[in-house]
Formats: sequence, structure tokens, C-alpha cells
Amino acid sequence: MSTGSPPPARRFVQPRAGDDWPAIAARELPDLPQNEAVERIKSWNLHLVFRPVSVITPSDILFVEPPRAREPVA
Amino acid sequence: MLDLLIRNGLICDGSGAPAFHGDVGIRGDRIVALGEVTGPARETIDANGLVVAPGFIDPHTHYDAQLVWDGLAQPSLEHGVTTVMPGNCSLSLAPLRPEHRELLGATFRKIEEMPKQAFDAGLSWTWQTFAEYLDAIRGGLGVNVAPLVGHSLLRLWVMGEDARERIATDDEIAAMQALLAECLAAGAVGMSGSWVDIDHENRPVPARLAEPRELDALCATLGAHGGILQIVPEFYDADLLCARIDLLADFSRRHGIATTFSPLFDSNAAPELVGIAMERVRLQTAHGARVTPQMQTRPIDLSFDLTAPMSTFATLPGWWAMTLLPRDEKLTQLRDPAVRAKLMAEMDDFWMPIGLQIDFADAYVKRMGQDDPALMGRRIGDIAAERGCHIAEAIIDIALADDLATSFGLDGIGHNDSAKIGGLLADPLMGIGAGDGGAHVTNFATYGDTAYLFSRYVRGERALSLELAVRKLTHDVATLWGLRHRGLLRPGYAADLVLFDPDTVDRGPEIAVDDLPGDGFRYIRRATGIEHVIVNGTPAYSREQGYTAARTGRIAERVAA
Repeated sequence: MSTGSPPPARRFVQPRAGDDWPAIAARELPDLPQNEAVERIKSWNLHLVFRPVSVITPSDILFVEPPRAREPVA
Repeated sequence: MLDLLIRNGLICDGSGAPAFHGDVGIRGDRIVALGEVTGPARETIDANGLVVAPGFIDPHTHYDAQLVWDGLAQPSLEHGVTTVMPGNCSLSLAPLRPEHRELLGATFRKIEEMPKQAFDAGLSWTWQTFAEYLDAIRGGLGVNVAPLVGHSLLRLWVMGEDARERIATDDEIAAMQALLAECLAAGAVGMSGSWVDIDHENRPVPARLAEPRELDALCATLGAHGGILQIVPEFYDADLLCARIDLLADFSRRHGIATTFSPLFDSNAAPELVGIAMERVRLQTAHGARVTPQMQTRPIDLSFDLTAPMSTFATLPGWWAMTLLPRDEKLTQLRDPAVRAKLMAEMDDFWMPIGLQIDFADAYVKRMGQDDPALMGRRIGDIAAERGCHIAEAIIDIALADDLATSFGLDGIGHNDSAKIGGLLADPLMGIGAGDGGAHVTNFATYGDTAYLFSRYVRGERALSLELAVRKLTHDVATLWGLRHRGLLRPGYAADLVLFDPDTVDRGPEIAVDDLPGDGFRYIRRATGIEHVIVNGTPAYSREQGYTAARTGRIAERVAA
């Protein structure tokens, strides 16, 4: 049995205090122009963008990469 | 002399070992002999033809309020459940300061869908601390209770209403840790949290305002005291659920705690989800984590009406707002063509964000104030077609004609593939739970999941052996939750037992009963094939005589860290 953490199924972070989309985008995608970074981060986190009450909470999951392809279920 | 001797039963001891014919001897509240037991006894039960098993343990309930007015947790006890875990999903009823009772009550009622009149009539709120809450229910208990303390309650106590607004300071986190330790010392078996729930004002519950370091600190306290963490994740999205499983696994490894999440629910809306989640659980288990999903055994049979907001209307804001209107205004609105058009349009665009596959055309007329034989039991889609109207109009017009007293049913939501569900329930890493006893009382009957396991998946699908099914409902739960001397038939263990007919044990049909405080109704299911239920050595229920006057339930002891 291994006791380390396996790599994530999809990379994610959790918000920091006071985070908003530009702050998250700047931190996670620093090489992209801000607008593009924000749009890209949002597109990976539609569960936050389209939630009924539009607020990011400190316990949320923020994906920092797109969904990975999965093998079809037999 | 024995106090109670159970003779000639098929002993299914909870360990999963092959069942054998024999006797159980009980003295006081303990099992003292197992096998071929001789000698006199004050009372003898002939268990010929019956399975003798440890009492079932239900790890996911919201009996926090009901236990105040009904220490038997009816009807769970008659289904053979001798231990219940209330306090799930970040919500317990203590510790709670008087100034937060209205807020917590509104939150609890919204999330767990309980009528306000039952809360108002049934709760005396004589407690503030967790110990005081346990004292308030202890004397009337007919079942054992292994309570969780809710993370949202810890935040409210320490931070006041700021708990709904902001992250905690270092001092506040330390105060929550101390309070959690106090609750664990008083009798809590762990802490519950939520990553999804929203309150009566559509705001995240306080637990969701916690930074990762706050939850980590509380898990450190759980680790120091041997408590479990239960949490509600985004169970409807595979990627989110896998991320949450990873977080729970990290907590488990770092602090040496057991974690459990609920529900894990199978729906045709996302048929691959459960398999993906289980592979993640398998991987994390191989890496030393204890992360146990809880899956209910049954599909959901929902009910809804137009008198109060229900989860069915969560993504129908117009319908939600309409149900909240004062009665006269509601009647006016429901007759207004413009309002009706809006409600129809909303229903056309309906989607369920939590992965349930619902079609309102498949709803049926379930319950009426004034029974109309031409409508009772009929499908809304068929009635709408007959009337040449929209399904929303059919629902509205039927309700209006019945003075809004009509309840509509939506049966068999999720868990539709029995072969798949049977395999999942039999999986060694799958916990059986998430039944929600005591909650959603006017929306669906959350009772009889244990009997359904035997009728559907032991007798019907043959997905589990009798011994494995009993183990899943007893020893596995007691082990995960760290309950001392429960969940097995062994000398020295608590004499919690259920005697049932393996050929007939089942849940009855969903029925409405008027037994809530404040004259409210709720949906329940009665048991069939459960002959005797014994709690801490004392008969608490029998099929022939019903519930006894015994109140021998306890606050279940936890194995210390």
C-alpha cells in the first residue's frame, strides 16, 4: 500500500481569501492575457459560473485545467 | 439466570461468516452466550424460521428534531434499526445559542424539508450545549443514538452570524476546535459538513464558508479524539466528486481519521458517474485513505404540491416563488394567464442540477384533499393530453380544483438498473446509508431501505448473500463509525438484535400518517417480516404487539482514539 497522494484526476485548487476571477486567473494562468485567462478559467468552472447564487466560497473546487477525456463506460 | 433467551434462530452474527442455527442468551443489556445455550431464562423467544441478527445501524439520518418528540425514531425501529446517526450534512440542533434558533431552524427546515409547524410544536429548545441536547433526548430514547455535531453549528456558536459571511480567524478556528472537542467528549461520534447545501435565503450554509485550513484544523481535532468526518459533496458531477474524494483522502491520511460522504447516487442523467467515483475511492484506499461512500438502496419516490417550496422546484424560480406566496395571492396568481404562461415556460426549460432525471409529464396524482376517482393515480402527461393543455396547466388546475390539497408523485427516480446497483451495494468499499430518515417528510418516505436491501438485492437480484447484507448494515457501519461493542452478536456486546423472516422481510407501501406535532402529515413505510426488535436487551418492538413501552436506547459509546 502506498501512503502518498495519487495525482489528481483533474488538477484543481481552492480559492484564497478575497479571490475573484481576475485574481484566480492571474495566479493560475500567469502567461495569458488577463481577459483570456479569466474566460478560460471560467470555462473550466461552469459549476461556479452558473450556480444560482453567483458567489465563490472558500471551500469551492476550482479546476485549473480542462476536463480530461475518459474511456467510454462499457 | 438469563433475562432473555432467543432460541432456535438462524444466527447471522454480523461478521459475514456463514449463518448457523443456535441460541442467544442475554443478561441485562449484554449478550452473554451464543450457540447452544442452556439454562433458565425469565423470557424466551422462539426464533424458529427467523434470522437473528445484530440491530441495523443507520448512518445517515436527520432525526435530530424528531428524537425530541419521538425517541423511538418511528418507523425506523420497526424496520430493525437499533442505532441511528443524526446530525448529518453540517446540521445538528446543538450547540446552539438562543439567538440563533430561528436561523438554524429555518435552515434545517429548508434543507431537510420539514414543516415549520412540526418544529414549532415539537421542539422546546431546552438546550444550548451539545451535552444539554443529549440530556434533553436521553430519557426518552427507544433507539441508540450516535450523533454527529454539525460544522455549521460550530461556526454559528463561535462566530455568530458572521459564520454566514466570512472566513474564520486563527482564534475562531481554535475556539471551534475546542468546542468540537467538547462535543466529542459529550457524546458526538464525529463532525458533519457540507460542500453543497444552501440555506433558506439561498446562501451557502456556514460550513461552506470555511477555508481549507479551518476544515483541516477540525479534522486534526477529530483525529485526536477518534471522531469521523461525514460530508456532502457535489455528488452529481464526476470531476467535482473525484476532487472531493481526494480532499477527504488527504484529511484521512494526514489525521488518521475515517471519512464518509453521502450520497453516492446513480442516475440515468449521468450513468458513468458512480463507476468513476468508485475507481477514485479504490485508488485512494490503495494509498492508505479511509473514504467510504454511502449509497442508498432504493430509488427516490418524490412528492410535491403547491403549498410549500420543495427541492423539486429548485431550478424553477417562478414555481419556487409562487409556493411561498400567501394563500389568497397564490390563488390569484395561479389563475392569472400571464403567470401561468411564465410557469409553463419554466417547466419547458426544466433541468435538475443535482443529477436527477425528472419529467413532470410522468408525475401522477398521488393524494387529494377531496378524492377524485377520475384523477387519482393518473399520469399528468395523460391528463394534459386529454385536456389539450400544458402539463404545468394540468398540475395547476388539478391543485386549484382541490383547494391546493393535491400531492403529485414522481416515482422511481434514479437507481433504475438493479444489476448495477446490486453490484455496487456488494462492493467491499461501498457503505450502505444515505437514507435520510427524519427528513423530507412530506416529500418521500425515507424508511425501509434495510428491508429493501433484503427483498430486492438478497432475495430478488441475489447480488448479496444474507450474511453480507447483514454485515453491511451492522458490523461494517459500527467499525467505520467507531461504535464500541455494537454491530456484532458476540458475548460482551450490546444486546441490540433484530429477528426477521428472510422470506418475507420487506418495506410496505408509502403511506401518509398524521403523527407530526402540529397536526402535520408525513410519508412513511411500515415493515413486513420484522418479528422482534431488541434494544440493549429489552424488547422494543414486535410484529404482533407493536412498540413496547421500553425506552432503553442510549447515546452510543465511541471507541476512544
